[in-house]
Amino acid sequence: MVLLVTSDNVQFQVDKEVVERSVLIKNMLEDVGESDQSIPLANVSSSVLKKVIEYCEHHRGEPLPSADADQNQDETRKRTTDISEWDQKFITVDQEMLFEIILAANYLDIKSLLDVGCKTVANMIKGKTPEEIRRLFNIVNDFTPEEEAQIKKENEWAEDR
Amino acid sequence: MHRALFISEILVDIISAPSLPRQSLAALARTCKTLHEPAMDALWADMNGIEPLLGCVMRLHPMIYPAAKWRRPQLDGIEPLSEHEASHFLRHATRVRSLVIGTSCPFHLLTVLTVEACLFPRLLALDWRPYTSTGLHLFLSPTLRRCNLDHWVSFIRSDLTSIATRCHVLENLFFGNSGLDVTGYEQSLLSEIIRSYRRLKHLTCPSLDSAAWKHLSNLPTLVKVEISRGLDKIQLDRDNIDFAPFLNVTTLHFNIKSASDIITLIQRSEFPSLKKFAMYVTILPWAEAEQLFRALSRCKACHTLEDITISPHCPADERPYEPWTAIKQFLCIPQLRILSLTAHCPIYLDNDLLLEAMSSWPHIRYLELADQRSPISPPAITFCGLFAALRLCPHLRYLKTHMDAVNIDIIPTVDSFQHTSLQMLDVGSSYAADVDAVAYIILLKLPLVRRVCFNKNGGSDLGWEEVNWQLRIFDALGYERW
Repeated sequence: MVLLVTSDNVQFQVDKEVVERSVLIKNMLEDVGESDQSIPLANVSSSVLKKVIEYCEHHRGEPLPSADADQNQDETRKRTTDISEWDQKFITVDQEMLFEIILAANYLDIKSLLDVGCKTVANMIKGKTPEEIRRLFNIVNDFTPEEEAQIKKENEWAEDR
Repeated sequence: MHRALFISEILVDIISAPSLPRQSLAALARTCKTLHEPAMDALWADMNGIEPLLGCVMRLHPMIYPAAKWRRPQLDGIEPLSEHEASHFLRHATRVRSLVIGTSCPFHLLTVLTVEACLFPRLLALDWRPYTSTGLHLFLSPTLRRCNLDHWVSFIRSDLTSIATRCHVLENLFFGNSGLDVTGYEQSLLSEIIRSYRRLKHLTCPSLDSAAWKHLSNLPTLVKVEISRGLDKIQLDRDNIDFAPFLNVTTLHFNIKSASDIITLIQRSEFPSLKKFAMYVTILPWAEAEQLFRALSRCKACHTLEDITISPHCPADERPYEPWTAIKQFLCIPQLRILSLTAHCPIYLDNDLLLEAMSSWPHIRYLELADQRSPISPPAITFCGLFAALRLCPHLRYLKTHMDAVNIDIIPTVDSFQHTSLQMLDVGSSYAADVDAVAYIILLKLPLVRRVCFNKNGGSDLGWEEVNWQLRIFDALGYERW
């Protein structure tokens, strides 16, 4: 078992096989060797880590992308549009939690979880106008009207014509 | 905006999700300055034509995007870009990673850009379809890794050689098949170009001469070679050939008129990593076929080959037809998973040989022996021989061979053997006499075979329609297949 300590100082005892789905933690464990030392995760809160562990538990035993996996393998994984039914249910959370899971997956280097999160955000963006995207993600429009018009004009080929 | 969207790796992952269409990328690019750059990079990465770049030039915008949306942009007779306009044209060129240039590209607008510098400094893939090499130099980025030249035969020599001098990291090179035969001059030019590449991974081109093959045989990066047409016969100099081993080549694919040079190639090299060999050839005389089988079974590839397809298009003018001995020759290829032989003469196979083959190929999944014109008559494979062999190949899913379904030599209920992988059985132009008995054998022994395929070309009643009808009746009556 591995002891993880979150940013809000909550401790989690997690099976080594589960926690090693994180490349960051796997490397840390390899560096320190056999030790009872806890691993501090300063960038992950307990509520987020709980979700991340749930994901890793569910995907326990599945093949991990190897460190020297070629670019094609990485591309193939990204190009797959599907999110499995379980993953879809798992990632159905409020937007704040969704982005926190993405941040944690990025920090902990769990590529498959990062993919699921990013594809979910992409699906939220799909079919929306710039204004709808701004509203959805609370984005402030920092373009001048002229700048925005110029971008629209240059990208006209990409619009429905 | 959530702080996650300020992290570039996360943003790039979101934007590169395959579910995002270009309309969404265009919308994202307009939301704010943080999302603008990555969205634009993704949006402009794959371009079909240069018209969108021309649309950034104010003067051309109304022509590129005519009010009537169904109209194609009309750029004939338009003045070329000025230097100032060229800078607008180039605004997003650095974002383009993959570009298709069609046959009607308005190169005349780009005359001001006839500078040596490449317009697309990050271009990775170029698909060039014009019948001319005019303007090609503008697209030859030093970063280019993949280049497809559809109509290279009509290109100017200097333009073709400039690919070699400007694109040093090219890995995938495709010389299209224009449908025309290549002349000796074009052949030597092609050879010269190919010999200038040291990093090729995948090459598609017409037939090659000895010098080009020799160069390729020494390339450790090369994994796939596809040869499509070209000169009738290059005539490799058999007495003066010394090929390296094609160390990492895994796939050879030929679509050619004559096999003789390829036989020489296989005979004179090793191919220690070859997994897939496919040859579609106009005519393959018996003697050449036998040489080819022997060459494949004797080179180092016999330890690695998994997939062999040999298919001549036309029958050779030689009678009587001698049977191919391919099966016997390929017994020494233990990794074989797919074997597809389409012959215009018989392919020798009997019960004993089929048994030996299946014991030699434990991984076989697909076996097609299509001797179209002169199957051995009567077929030497019987049900007894077939099922004895099938016991040894649990992964076989497809089998095509002629078989003797007239002289039934098994009692299907004597043992409980079933082959639970075979999904498709094709018996070619074999006959079935006792259709009820044959259907019952298939029902009991091959539970995944719902209907038997056969040659309908002859128009004669081979009995298999009735066998299939009987199989449907068994299913309708709820006969247990397991």
